[in-house]
Amino acid sequence: MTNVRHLCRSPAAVLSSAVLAFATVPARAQIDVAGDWDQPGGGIFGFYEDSLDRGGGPDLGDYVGLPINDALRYKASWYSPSWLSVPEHQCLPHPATYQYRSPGGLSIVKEYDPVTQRLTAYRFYGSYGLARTVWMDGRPHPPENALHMYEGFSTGRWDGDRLVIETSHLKAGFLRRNGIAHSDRARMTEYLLRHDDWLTLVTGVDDPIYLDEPFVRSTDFRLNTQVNTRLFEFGGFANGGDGEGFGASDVFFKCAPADEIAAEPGRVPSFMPGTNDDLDMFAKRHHVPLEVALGGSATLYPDSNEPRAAARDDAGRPPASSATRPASAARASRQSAPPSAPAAQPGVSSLHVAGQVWLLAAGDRNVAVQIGDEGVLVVNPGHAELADAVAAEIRRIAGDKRIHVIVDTNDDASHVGGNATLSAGPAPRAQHAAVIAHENASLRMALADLPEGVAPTDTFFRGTRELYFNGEPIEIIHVPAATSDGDVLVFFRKSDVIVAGDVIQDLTYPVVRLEHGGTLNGTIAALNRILGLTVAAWRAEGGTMVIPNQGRVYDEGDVAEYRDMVTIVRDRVRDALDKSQTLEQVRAARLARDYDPRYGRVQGPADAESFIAMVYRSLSSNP
Amino acid sequence: MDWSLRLWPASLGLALLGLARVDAQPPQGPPAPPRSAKAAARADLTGQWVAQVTEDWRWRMITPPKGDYASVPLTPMGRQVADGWDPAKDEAAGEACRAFGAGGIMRQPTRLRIAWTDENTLEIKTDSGEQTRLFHFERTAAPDTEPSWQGRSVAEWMGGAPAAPFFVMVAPTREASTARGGGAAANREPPPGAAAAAARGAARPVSAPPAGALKVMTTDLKPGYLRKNGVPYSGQAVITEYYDRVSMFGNDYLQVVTIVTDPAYLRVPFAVSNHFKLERDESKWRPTPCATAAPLGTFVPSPFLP
Repeated sequence: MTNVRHLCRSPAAVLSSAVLAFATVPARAQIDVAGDWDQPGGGIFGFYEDSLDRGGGPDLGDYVGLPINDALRYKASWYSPSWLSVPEHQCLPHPATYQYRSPGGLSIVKEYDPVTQRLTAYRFYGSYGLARTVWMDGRPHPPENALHMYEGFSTGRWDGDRLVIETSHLKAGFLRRNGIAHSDRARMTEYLLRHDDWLTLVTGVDDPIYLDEPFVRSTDFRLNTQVNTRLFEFGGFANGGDGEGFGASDVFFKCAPADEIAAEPGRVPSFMPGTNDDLDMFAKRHHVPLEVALGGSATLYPDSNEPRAAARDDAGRPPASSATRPASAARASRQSAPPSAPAAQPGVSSLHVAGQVWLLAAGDRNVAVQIGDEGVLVVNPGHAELADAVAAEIRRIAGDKRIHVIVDTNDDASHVGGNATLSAGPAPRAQHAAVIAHENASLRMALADLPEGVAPTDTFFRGTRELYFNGEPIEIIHVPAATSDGDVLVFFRKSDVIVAGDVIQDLTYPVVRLEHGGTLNGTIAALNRILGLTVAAWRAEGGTMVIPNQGRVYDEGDVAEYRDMVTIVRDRVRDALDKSQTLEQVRAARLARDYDPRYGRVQGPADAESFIAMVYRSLSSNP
Repeated sequence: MDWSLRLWPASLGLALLGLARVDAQPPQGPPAPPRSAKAAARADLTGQWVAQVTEDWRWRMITPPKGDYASVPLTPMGRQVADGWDPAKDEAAGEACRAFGAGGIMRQPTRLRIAWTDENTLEIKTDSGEQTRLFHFERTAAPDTEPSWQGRSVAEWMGGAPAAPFFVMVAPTREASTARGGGAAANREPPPGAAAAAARGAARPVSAPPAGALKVMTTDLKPGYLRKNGVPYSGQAVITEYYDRVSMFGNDYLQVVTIVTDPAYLRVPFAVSNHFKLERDESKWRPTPCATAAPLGTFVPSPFLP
């Protein structure tokens, strides 16, 4: 300290140090991107490219110039704009992959660490209110099983004059507002290029599920030097807007779903295969062959000029032809990528979810743990062979707190296998933990002749078992005839976390055990029950957290996405059943081909074939 | 008196001496010639690039109907010209290249071949329309040239010459090198085809200057089209372009921002941006002469078009 004080008193040292430091610091070439940026033509709709798409909205069946694969083409072909009327979708924000295509301006603000005075982040604001942070402090991206958000998680670095932004942890969201959506496996790289008073955001999205190659596009902005004191003015009054409607309303910052039409709860609008009469809307309007209008990598390149010779074709009905075209080499190679199946990795890692609740990723299963003053509560201890590792991880995060309660969300061995190990006390005479399950699950465990110590010690028959532990109310909610007849959800009301058990698999289709009393409709009802409990913090994200049986943490938006998938496939198979189609016909039609790349590339009961067969059988007996 | 206060004039002198040593270096031989544009390149733009038409497809990939000038800020006179477009007339007048001029060529579905023709001239050839653009970095007076489809283009690397430390005490740290030299790109092996690129006169595969953009201003243009359906720019148009090379997901892209200013036909500058993907396989280069094309269908304005 003396030396520091001495140095500060010495003008010579200070000056010399400054000169040397200044002289030896490499010149930085970065150009600042902070400021208010307007559409290039001014006003809120002043964009010059893709103006129809970005304004009123694209035609149905306009996928041209998009490197989509057959799965996404199939998915988008049956997209109904009425999907936006579903309560969980009414407040959807644009994802970061699309946000800057919307009307209004872009405001980029620098944030500094108040102590070190170093730049820690850029914050992006703009119309529709999706605030986004680009971290500049070198922090790592979150673990793979952390929550995904519409804005994703972004970090920035300088490449010469250009700011390069890498974004992970995106939710599924639109790339074009006519059903063209990327999956939650998408990643994004952006370049923010400032040239004089112009700013160009180059966006590249790569999605192994739905894109054959990265999708690149760019969005231009022009420096706006007017003073904007309120965000809604930005793109509203200050930039040529009329102060009404777009950019001027709270609707873009706060949103609450409203019941505007009478619709059956849980309904997910979607065209049934073969019934979208407007799929050729774009093709007809612009006189291009339907196969070109429906996009794919080939339509990006000059060589796709060649179909122009065949233009003026009055496109016919597409479904079968468009969706069964042979995959290009690129598509084939992408689709043969390693499956996204749960990798049965030994070892256990933990992730704090919210409040007192943690997620332990134990092999291919999630174990939920609540830790508080009273001790530890475990939901689904997991596989027997990983029980010691789970116990060790619990000790690592909970210290010497004892496990008092175990809840099994059903009778599956992958949940209850660790009951014996985790319920045992630390000493021979120590009190064992209570193991709670629904009576139906308990009965099935008894029939399964499980090892000693696995069976529940405490069961319940009624709809909900209540518990107050670690200072928070906990509801153990029976969801009848879901994936089995003994499924429960566990709702930590203070931590605001729901453990979904087998009702949500994340990595795969749901595995509904018909022989154990499960039904597809019961599983959908359970998903809707979860949605009835969740409350999003902002739009459709954040707020109540949901822990699936495997994979990453969910919130309301994610549960809705999963519910949509199961419901839409259910509706398609039901439609086929109504047409008296056999199981073989349904299998051949590959009615879930749009979801197979995301959920069906696994071996076993959750694979695509088994899932469709289960749906068919379940609906045959319980339509 | 504190010893440090007695010493500070001496310290200051030493420091200034250090600076003077740099500034007052006695000349050692003839002065070094200024760095050429090729040597100072802040991006390697050379190679064959193919347009990826992911935006404005219906205006770029096909010939849209007459009168479809949606989202182009035309003046009334500009609209009048666009409404009078007649591709057969252009063909007959020998002006089939109107849509291939500097104001529209980079929006065409085309391939580009970019190479240095000398130390200070960058050339862009297109296979669509068989056009050649020359970007001149030398600030010599423009010769009196007749207006042409590609006009006269003056280029400069943005940000000027890379700033060097004026008193280099130590080698830049690895961190600093990464920050200045392109992050991950700077640490990569030379890409496949780098040797071929070098043979074409490419700048260094791993450039020392920090990554940056090329700015090009083009004047002396013949009147041409922003879109194939006769959306016009006049001979008074000035075109400002910015070229960047970016890398995403293992691919290299050429990003081009084009801003057309035209007091005759545009109310405000018309700014668009598009990209090309680096193409290692050069076999797809297919030169085709300028041609007009009949529009597809009749324009029906959308009620939702802003």
